[in-house]
Amino acid sequence: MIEVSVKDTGEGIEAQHIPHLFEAFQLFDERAERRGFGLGLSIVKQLVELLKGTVTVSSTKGVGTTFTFTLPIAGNAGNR
Amino acid sequence: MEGSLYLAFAVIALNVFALVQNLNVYFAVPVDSVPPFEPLVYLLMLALLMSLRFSNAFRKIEELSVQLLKADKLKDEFLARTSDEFKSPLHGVMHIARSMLDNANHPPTAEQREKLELITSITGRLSQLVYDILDFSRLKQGELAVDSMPVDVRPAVEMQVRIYSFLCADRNIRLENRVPEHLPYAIADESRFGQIVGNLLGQRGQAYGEREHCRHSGGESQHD
Repeated sequence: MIEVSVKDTGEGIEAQHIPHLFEAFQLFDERAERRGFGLGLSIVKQLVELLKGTVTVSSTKGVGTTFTFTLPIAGNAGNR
Repeated sequence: MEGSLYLAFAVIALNVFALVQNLNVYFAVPVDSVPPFEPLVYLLMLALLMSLRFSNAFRKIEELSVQLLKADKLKDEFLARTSDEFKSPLHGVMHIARSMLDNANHPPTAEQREKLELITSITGRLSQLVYDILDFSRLKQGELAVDSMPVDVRPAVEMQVRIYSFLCADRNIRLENRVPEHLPYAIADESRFGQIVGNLLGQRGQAYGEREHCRHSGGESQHD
């Protein structure tokens, strides 16, 4: 399979929020200008699973966050 | 009250039992002329009462869950339909604001420009939300079709990186595509793949203020 990571050097996510990160309508950032509707990551998870992959997240407060998802790889026909 | 008849019979049975005992004590009426059926009747009535209550509760829960499922479906439909209705007006507003911004004959003043830019950014966010809700409800109903085919990961990531670099241009965010070339193809739906990567990039971009310096990268490793 193929593994794709989206890594950032931002402020990270609190460890207590990580288990609920992919649930819909979960909002962790109280600051008004960053309020979304909490749908994005839930959609990502459902889409990845629809494509028969998995998505995980690891984050260190103050260092950054890495989202990693996997996808199945094409057979020999797709290889270059 | 449900089962009050059972309760009444139970009370009568107990009273009859007490009466027979009293008659035996005061008037020496023999107790063993008939078998002592009253306690049995009492217990039977209580058991019937309990089973009636239980089956009623069970039926009520079933009715409620049917109603809840119906309400949930209505809510989903409502959400999807309203979102759909919002789509075109939002696009219209965004389009008008953009065309006013780009109007060469009557260029907007600095103040107007600021307001128009606010309008485009707000409508942009709203239409993103509308698309999210539509996707979400489609995913929930299992209606989202995926068209699986071999996807070349690097160019697919590159496209999203370009889009989000453009969107983040005025903020101190740098996006890098570090996906190596010549990877085997992934089996995915190209537009959905773009949506996944874009959503993750956008999420992260949203999560940082304008002051922080952030770097995103699509790093990649291959297994098997």
